[in-house]
Amino acid sequence: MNLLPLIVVIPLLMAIVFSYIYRSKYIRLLTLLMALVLLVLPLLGLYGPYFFGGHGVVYIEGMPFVSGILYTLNPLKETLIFTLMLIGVLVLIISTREERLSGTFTALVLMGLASVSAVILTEDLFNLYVFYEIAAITQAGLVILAGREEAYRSAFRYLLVGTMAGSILLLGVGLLLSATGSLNIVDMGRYLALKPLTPTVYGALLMLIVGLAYGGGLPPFHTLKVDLYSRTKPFVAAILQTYSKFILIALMLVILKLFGGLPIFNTTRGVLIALSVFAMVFGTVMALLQDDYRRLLAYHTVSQGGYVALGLALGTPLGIVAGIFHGINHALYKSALFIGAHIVEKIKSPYMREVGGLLLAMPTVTFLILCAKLASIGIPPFNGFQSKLLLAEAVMSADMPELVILMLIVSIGTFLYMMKAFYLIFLKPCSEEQLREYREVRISKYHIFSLGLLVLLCIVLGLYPDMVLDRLLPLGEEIAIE
Amino acid sequence: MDYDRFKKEMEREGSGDSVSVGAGLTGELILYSFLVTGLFLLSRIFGKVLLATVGILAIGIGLHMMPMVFRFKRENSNHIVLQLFWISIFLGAISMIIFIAGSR
Repeated sequence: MNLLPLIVVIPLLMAIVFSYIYRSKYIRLLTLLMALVLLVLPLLGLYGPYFFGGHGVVYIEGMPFVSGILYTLNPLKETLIFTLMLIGVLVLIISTREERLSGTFTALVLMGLASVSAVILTEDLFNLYVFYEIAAITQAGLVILAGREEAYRSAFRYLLVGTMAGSILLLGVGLLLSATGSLNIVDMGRYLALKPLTPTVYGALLMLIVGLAYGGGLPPFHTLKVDLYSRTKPFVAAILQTYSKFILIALMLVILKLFGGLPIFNTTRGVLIALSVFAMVFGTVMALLQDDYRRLLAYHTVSQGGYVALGLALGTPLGIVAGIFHGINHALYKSALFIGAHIVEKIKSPYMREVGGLLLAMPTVTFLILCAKLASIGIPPFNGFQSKLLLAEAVMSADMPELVILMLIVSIGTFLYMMKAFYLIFLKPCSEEQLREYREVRISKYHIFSLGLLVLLCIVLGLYPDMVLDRLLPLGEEIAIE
Repeated sequence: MDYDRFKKEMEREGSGDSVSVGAGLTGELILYSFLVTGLFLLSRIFGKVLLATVGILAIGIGLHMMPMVFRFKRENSNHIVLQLFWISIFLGAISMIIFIAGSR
């Protein structure tokens, strides 16, 4: 029996339950139990299609069409959902050690996990839009829970612009429906490939790109995302950036499936590559200018989102695989870095100049954060090296050596601001009194365990990238543009 | 652009120590490299003299405006008016590109 919908239904139902019992004294225990359940969820589905409500394939004039909502599971989607759930679990585990934990936080994390899983699994464009919107609202809700005025402002700004971007995306979905008569992505793609293109389809493409840029945090929407990540608690930013990254991957795959075979895709590819490069460069330059560690990491997320989008925008099998692999790797090491930033903030301050000398107070955490930083820069034997190398190969084989040069320059920038942050926070000399102050702060074992597990995964994927690549390659071949 | 002028600008921004100035200069160089490599890529793909000319013009303006990084930082602020301005520019630009590509 295929239990695929439960990946979405269980977190969604439990989100409702948690929002009812948000003041329960057992909330920490229940959150831990829920975290365990989440780990099992990716194993529930069987590979292949799942038709909702007894619908299926119907034949109209000999052509197969999907009626109703269709979810599909394949090794690529399974890997994405497993990574998503793992990071969700770690964030929930850490949250149980926070002073003011309420069921609302757990409910919002669960709702986000359900929505992003649905965006990954669904083959129905309207269903994707609905969950895309829920994910956006969830992200704003998680930021509001930080309880600071700046957080409220950021969330409000994000939702304000989201109202516009979400409406544009919905209009795009509507235009595609009117042009093709279907909401199923595969059916739509097949129809578009057979019929001559109309201005309606061009308009829809434009609107999907706007939705992609907003959901994935690409320019010009990147400043909104940066604001979101930096105004909330850093460990919450770990799950927020994972949501964004996986929505970016899912929407890029939708655009490839819908428009990949059309003559206009060459221009679309140019636009998407340009957006990716802007994200890479803007993120890095802005990160170099930051004094707040949370904002530095937030800009780094934008920059790495550019790498992910670049691979996918190339549309070649290697590019798609490299982009998705980098997305997974980035979710892992960036979550580790955000958890590290949470520890730094707990001990002293998020402002790098106010810290210093943390190496002496917590050498293990320092070592783990250094490993995560090296992974993010792309240094062997960490996973970031493998995916960046693969991306460089993909860009070279797409005959764009200039972009490889730019990637290298951006990596040098990344190295510089990561090492600047490392020096200021961990190596800069500090007074004895400050050191005593650091040692008085107790860091939970849950934080260190989460950080350690993520770094371990970075090393394992760096040494054995085939564990993931073997699962992605067949689907990269299938989706790639000829 | 000399180091001292750059340092003064950084001091005005509130972070004039050598670590920050080094980081700021790297940002400036990355922006400039982005312009140069972007020009190379575009002129190689489209191979048009006009494009190359506009590209060289962009590099020239970039050199003239140096340091660019401070203006760039201001444009990347989280001010809603600036955000909406750049979103409008973005919408206009991709509409134009897709319109031109579609009408070919």
